[in-house]
Amino acid sequence: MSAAEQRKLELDRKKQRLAEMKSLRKREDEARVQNLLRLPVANGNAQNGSANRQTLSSNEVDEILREVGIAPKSTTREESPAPPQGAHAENHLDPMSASASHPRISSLLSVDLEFSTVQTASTDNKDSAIYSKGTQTDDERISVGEFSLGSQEFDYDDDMIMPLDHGQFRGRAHSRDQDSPISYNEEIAKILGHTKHVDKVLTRQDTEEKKTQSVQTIQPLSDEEKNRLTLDPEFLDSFNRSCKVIGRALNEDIDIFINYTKDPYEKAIASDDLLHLAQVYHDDTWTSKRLVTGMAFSEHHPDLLAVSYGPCDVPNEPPGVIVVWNTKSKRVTAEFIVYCQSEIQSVAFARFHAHLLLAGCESGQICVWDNRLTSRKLPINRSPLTTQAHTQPVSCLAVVGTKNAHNFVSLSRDGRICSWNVDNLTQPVDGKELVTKDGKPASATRMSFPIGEMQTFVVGCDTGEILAASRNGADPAVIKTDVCYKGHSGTLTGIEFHRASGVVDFSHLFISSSHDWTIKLWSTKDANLKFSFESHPDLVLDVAWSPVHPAVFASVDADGNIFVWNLNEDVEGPVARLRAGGEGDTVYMNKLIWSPDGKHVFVGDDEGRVHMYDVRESLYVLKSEEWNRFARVLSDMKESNEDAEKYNL
Amino acid sequence: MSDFEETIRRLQSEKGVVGIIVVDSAGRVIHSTIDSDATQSHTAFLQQLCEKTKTSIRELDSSNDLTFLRLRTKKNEIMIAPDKDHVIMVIKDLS
Repeated sequence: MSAAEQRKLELDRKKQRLAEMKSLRKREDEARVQNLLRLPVANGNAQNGSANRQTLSSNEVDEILREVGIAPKSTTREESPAPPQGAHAENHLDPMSASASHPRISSLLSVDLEFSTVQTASTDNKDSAIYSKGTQTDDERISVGEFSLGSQEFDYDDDMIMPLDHGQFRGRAHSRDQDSPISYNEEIAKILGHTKHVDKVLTRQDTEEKKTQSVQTIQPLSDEEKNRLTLDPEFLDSFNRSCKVIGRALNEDIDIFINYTKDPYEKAIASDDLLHLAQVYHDDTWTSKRLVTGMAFSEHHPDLLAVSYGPCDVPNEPPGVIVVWNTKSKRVTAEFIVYCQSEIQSVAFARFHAHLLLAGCESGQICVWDNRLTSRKLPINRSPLTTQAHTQPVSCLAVVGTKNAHNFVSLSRDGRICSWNVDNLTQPVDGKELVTKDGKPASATRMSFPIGEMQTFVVGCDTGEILAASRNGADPAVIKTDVCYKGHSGTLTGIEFHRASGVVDFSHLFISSSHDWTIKLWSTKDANLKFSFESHPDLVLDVAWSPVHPAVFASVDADGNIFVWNLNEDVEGPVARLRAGGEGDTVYMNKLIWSPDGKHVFVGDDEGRVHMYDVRESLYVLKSEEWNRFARVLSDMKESNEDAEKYNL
Repeated sequence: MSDFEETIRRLQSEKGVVGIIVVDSAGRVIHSTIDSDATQSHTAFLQQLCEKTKTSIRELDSSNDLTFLRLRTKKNEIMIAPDKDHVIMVIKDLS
């Protein structure tokens, strides 16, 4: 025999042995499967006996069922387990084929991939298996009463063994595929080391799932059980104890969310739609971080609002800036930007010169810009710094008179009042010192002329006094005032004559705001007609009458509150309140002005922003009766003042 | 009226109480004063929440245990008093 033949023989022998082994294994495997499947039957679970199913006739099954205590039902009942059983068998194959395919693919397969495949297989399996058996278990439990998770657990265990017990896997895999059993074994052994830990986690997850499932499938208590429980003294004892705790918790009416720092009015403010923030006028380069020092609307173009800004910290930036905003534009648009080399204290449009803009400076100068010269940012004209004019900051400007005979009047901090001709700033028409009754110079902060009036006016002082004066006087250098309104105890910050004109004349009324946290209403005609509004929680910084509604005015304070008052509705408090800025964030509101149509309130702050607020329609669309109502309100005020005086005497 | 019902009634008469659910330790409803759908959903979620809280507390300190759970929400306040063999849930309307 040649060596080649010998080898051939040996090969044949080996093949034979291999075939034998194959068949042996197959047989063994089958036997084991049979055993496995028969096991449930031995437990008495007829329905779970999957392998024997084919051999059991329907009669036999009925018999078994009867033994357990389940009346045999129609044949459909018999058939119903069949498909799941089939599915079960299929699923048994699934992981096998899946895992068996692995050695064929590659022994270098990553651990993760291997593991996840197994997991998928098991989930699939579980799904179909649970449904079929779960239903049966439920039925059984109902009938038996005390049956718990026995069969379910078996169910789970059976499934869970597969991902866990790789030995079993291996055996099955062999029967299917023998191409490289050894390498597969090694693979498994390797993986086992890695996956043991992961498996544990998996098991825990599975048990948790099982738990939640068992919770879901819990049957509601029967009435009988409920009754039994509610009569159980032990239960009642602990129940009553818990109820007492809850009762106490319920009765504890402390609001744990209470915020003592919060303004109690805040809610009303936020919910009130009387004021609505519509726009914020702001320019990063020109206005940011600058205090708004003055605001004025143009009479020729009611859309244009001139706003003067104070100095900013940035070096080389002009200390005084005026921006003319277009308030009709939806976009924030600055029509003109002009500046000068002194801080600007006050601003005004020259009423009878549509294109001229006036400003009073910190230095005492008065500057004029012409907005026809768009390229010229610096003033076209300025007043000299002489004792004839102002040497102190010009705090107030007003253009008075008629088209053909007009002046503009400026007031400086030292109480000097100058009248000017707009066309000629080289020297004032006249300049007079304002002195109080006892001859002291008045340190004036604000002034206001009544509508259509150019001679008499009122001036608010640092001391809180308000002086009524007339520009006409015998003395060419001094305006001596006889009338003094005393009431405020702090510096006057705002003063304004009544503006709305209608069927009743209220032009004798004026209103003032002060650092003493109050707003006061006065009349030049009637000393008894006065009223104090004391709702502001901080320094009141400005006040302004509505140009259209006789009884409406608005005020701002240093805390950022904006109040709108309607004296026809409420004389004690504002009808609308709004606090600018968020909670804990105070916006210092410095200036306030109404738009000429009375539809908006503009408020300037210390950050260079001008906030435009829309007011509700009822504040500018008015009925004629508002005038008479306001007259009645005023007469009521007067009456109560007179009464109070009477009792005081 | 049994003692149990009496207690429930007294609890329900407290201001703002809109619902009381009593469940046993397995989450089965013993008594409820709200409709069954709401009871079911409340029980399912609150029971889970309660269990989770309990386990969390025990994980943090094994000698500790949950005694009372108050949930403040925008609309109401839910008080959960877990005991050995039952859990009481009370829903209180805040408005």
